[in-house]
Amino acid sequence: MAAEGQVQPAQANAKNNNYLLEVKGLKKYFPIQKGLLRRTVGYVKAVDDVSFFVREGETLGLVGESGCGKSTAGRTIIHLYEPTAGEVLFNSRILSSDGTRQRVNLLDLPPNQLKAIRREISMIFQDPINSLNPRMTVSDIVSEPMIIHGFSMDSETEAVIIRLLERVGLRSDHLRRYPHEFSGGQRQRIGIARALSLNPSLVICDEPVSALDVSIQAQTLNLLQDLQKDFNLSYIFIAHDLSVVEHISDRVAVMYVGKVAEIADAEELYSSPLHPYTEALLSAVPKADPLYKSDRIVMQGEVADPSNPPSGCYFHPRCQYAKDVCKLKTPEFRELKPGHFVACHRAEELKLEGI
Amino acid sequence: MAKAEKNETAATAKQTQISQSYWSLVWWKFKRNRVAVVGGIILLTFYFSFVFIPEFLSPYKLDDSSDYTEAGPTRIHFVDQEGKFQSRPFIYGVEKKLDFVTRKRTFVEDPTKIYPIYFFVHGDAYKLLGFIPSDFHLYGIDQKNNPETRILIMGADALGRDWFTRILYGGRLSLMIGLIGQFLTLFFGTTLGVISGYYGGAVDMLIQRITEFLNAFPDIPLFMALAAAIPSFWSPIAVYFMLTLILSFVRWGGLARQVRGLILSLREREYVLAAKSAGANDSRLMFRHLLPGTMSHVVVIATLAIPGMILAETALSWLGLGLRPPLTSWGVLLQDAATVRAIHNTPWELWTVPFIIVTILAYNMLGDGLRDALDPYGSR
Amino acid sequence: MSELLNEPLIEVKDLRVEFDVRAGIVKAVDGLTMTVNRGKTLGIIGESGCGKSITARAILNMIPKPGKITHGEIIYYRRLKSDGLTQMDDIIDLAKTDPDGKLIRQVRGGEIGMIFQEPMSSLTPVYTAGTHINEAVILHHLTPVYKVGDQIAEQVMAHRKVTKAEARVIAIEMLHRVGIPKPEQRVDSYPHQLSGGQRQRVMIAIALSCEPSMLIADEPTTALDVSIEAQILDIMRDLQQSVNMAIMFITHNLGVITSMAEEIVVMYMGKAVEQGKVIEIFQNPKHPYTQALLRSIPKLGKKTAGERLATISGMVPDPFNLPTGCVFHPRCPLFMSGKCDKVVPKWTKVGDEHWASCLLYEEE
Repeated sequence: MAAEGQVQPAQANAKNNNYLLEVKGLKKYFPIQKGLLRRTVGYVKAVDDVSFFVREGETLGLVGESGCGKSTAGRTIIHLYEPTAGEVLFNSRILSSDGTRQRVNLLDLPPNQLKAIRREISMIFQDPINSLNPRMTVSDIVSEPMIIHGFSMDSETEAVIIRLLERVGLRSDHLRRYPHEFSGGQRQRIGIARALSLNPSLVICDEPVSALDVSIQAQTLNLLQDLQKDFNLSYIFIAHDLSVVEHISDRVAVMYVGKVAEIADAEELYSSPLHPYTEALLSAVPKADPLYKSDRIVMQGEVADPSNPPSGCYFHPRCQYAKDVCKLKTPEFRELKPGHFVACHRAEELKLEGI
Repeated sequence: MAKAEKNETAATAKQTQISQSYWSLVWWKFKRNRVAVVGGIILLTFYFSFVFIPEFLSPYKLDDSSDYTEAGPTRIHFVDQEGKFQSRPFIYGVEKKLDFVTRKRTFVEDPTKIYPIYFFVHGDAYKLLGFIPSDFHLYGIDQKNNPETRILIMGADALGRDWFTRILYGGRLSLMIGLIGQFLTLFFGTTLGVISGYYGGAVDMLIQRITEFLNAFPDIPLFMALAAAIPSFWSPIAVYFMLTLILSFVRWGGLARQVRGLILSLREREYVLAAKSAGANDSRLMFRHLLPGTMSHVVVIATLAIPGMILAETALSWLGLGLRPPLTSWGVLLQDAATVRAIHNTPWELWTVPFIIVTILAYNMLGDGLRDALDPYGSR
Repeated sequence: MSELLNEPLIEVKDLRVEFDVRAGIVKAVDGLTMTVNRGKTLGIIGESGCGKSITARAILNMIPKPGKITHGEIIYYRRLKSDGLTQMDDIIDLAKTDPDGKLIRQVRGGEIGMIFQEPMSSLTPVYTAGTHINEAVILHHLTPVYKVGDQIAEQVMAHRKVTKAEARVIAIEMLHRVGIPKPEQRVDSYPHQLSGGQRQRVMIAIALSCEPSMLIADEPTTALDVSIEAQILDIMRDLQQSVNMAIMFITHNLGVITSMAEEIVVMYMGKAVEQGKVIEIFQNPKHPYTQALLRSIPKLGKKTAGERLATISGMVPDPFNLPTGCVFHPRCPLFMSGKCDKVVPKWTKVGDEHWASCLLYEEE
């Protein structure tokens, strides 16, 4: 059963209580049910023992192919999905009495405290069409989190909303309009304003620019960076586009089939990856440079099925460096260089190429 | 080579940016669908005429029997005996004759008695909408001075009652039963559908099994059983309300299923997740985010289901299980016309049928138009 | 034919496509001229709403309502393989064909194949992979309820005189060619049993099953993961070489287009703003829009801390109310007042096989 998964002491440096968010051994298994009686015949291990941390004011990029569990991880952190196991430790402002931050485990909180925490962690979604309720005006949408948390819709609240809209590059006369009247980029700005309306300290950005055009994508990324500076925000930036993630992130975690393959500072991860999957992924990205020539590593086959993953290291059937040990043993997620974590049996011996 | 030769683009019509709510877009799109608009106008006319002002439209009271038993439609004349055109149409008085062989009554016009037809004529007193006293009727002859003569544009039944009057009053009950019944269905269907789709699990299971059971049950026998359970000593009005309840009770299942399906798909929309991630509670998610999203579909489903309601009432009453005289509905009227004798002697009683058909068609026209219009973002 | 010579296959001349909608007329394509050469790949790049997909649909005369081709020609140099020995040449204007007529239906799928972005919605789920490819030509979609094999076979049978058994053999062969493992078994699977990448392979198999002279690929890899995208692009390149087919490759992804196309057309608001060889465009972009577009994408492996991306200021203009003069002038960093907002730029040669429509390069 899922619940018996043990909380692993993840990164050894537990001294770092100043991490804004620390995720330890997070698991989210979706049961596969069959038949009339809905018997559980197996589990999709969407997030399988994931550990990472986010420092205050930094951006952690979460990158991987579809089905790797990056979005599920983001959603499980703020309890949109009930976690199967693990710890999500968060330094809360609101739940502390003395103005300093109080470290709480989101998974043990009673419902009313969990609701309060939602003021501090908000979310930006991918789809600029689907993420805004088509029947609500911009004003309704942006003010909704405030209304939920007990603000009344008075002139003060409206002033806050107008300031926010202007900050993200919209105008106050947009307040009474409906989402369908805006372009994709503007809709994404509305979503960003909504995420910031309660002055959060952590924003989980779930593919915020992947549905946008190139020029709008650049504007949105710049906006997110500016807002980060202005409000001292931390981001978990989930995306599949490696170049976007590299651009915006301080550190990057690469996920494959529910597990983190590698975490490192962005520059280090891209220039000297330690996991063969990272290397292959970097090599597969089509480069917008006609003179760029390299021996492209074409990964064979498809991403493994998270309901029926391969034995040992999940990447071994597609890995060009795989050995017998990779089929048998799950690699340990360990810190190989300071701040550079990797889960590969052969990480020490391989010389991998970055970009 | 790509060339843009003319500088027309600048001159293209300026578009004024007006913020349009969902419903104003729907209205705009609906208006463009001629067929749907026609359907809507027919229905508005029908509901207004039959439900609100049948007293005014018909020259007689519902149960005004006369000597004109089984009389055919009165012929309306414009040209008198001398061949002169009259600007005011008129009818002749009639004389009843009995054929002693066939025992059939015939009505023969008597050209010596001329009764002009007046509009907005004074006649029987009534209360419009139940409280405005009036004695105006849309058309009629001078009833006060000629109490024995009748103008029967759709003939009369075996008791000499004006058939047109009966159709008008019958429409009131038939149309209302569709509307009220559908309203109750909507209430049951959407509430249970939203709960079922949102909570899932055991609640969902229970509601789904009940709807399946109801859907699997053959309609007519179920109606018959339920209708038979209505005590015979109840007043006709109580029977009427019972019948509406029965109809909506049997029919909410389908709607509940469709609403549940919609909720299941809407539940995964990112805007619902967004509200949830901001801490919204169940009722806010259900009623602020999920339910409005289903409304457009529900409206369409409901519109297209009302004809079924009306037909069900008609069928039940025709079978003698629904409304009973002295109540008058289209089903009751059809029952009157359902014997061979009636079809032979009083074929004009079949005038009820076109009214039913037009109503059903109008609902379908309207429903189709609504279906297209309620998805204004779908196709631009 | 010599490999070196560019032999035109499709010539689009001053094409205009307009959509008459409630708020006015949208000029989705406005005076576009371009040539697709036999056996070569032409890339079309632009942001959403620039008219690139409509151009592709116009070639197959499949403009969705309420749009229509209001002006221009799409000359198709048709080469009929009547019996494999003799060739018949024919020149038709696809813009003038009856959109529901027999001729255009032969061209669609049979001579010009098309693949789309979203593999699931365009595979009919009730057919197996084989049926799909058979049918490709007719519907350009995979039907979810049919086995893929049947779908391929249907497509083949619609355009070639073959029996059902022969069509199945072709279907298996096509699945094999697009790199689907165990094609003999896969031919009997339904679209939902395939992964996104495999579905896109089936779509390619369908499009290629009638050996078209051109393939229109509209964002074929946008919905796919990077590793699968690389595989699909490889397959397309390999197949193109083996059957000498032209490809019109439409995308918004600058990286993808670099690895696929020899020549690129950059589109903005229904017009071509620049055209040239890939290397020329990337190393020496002439039009300010192309320059801005290239600067606005983050480059992989070139991170500098705190760096900001260059952006194109403003937004895409309201299609009902296009700017005067050059449509890009309100966003252009090199805007020349009194000129760019008044004069519509001409298509000007700016280098070897390199054109742009910008007033900077026009001589008085």
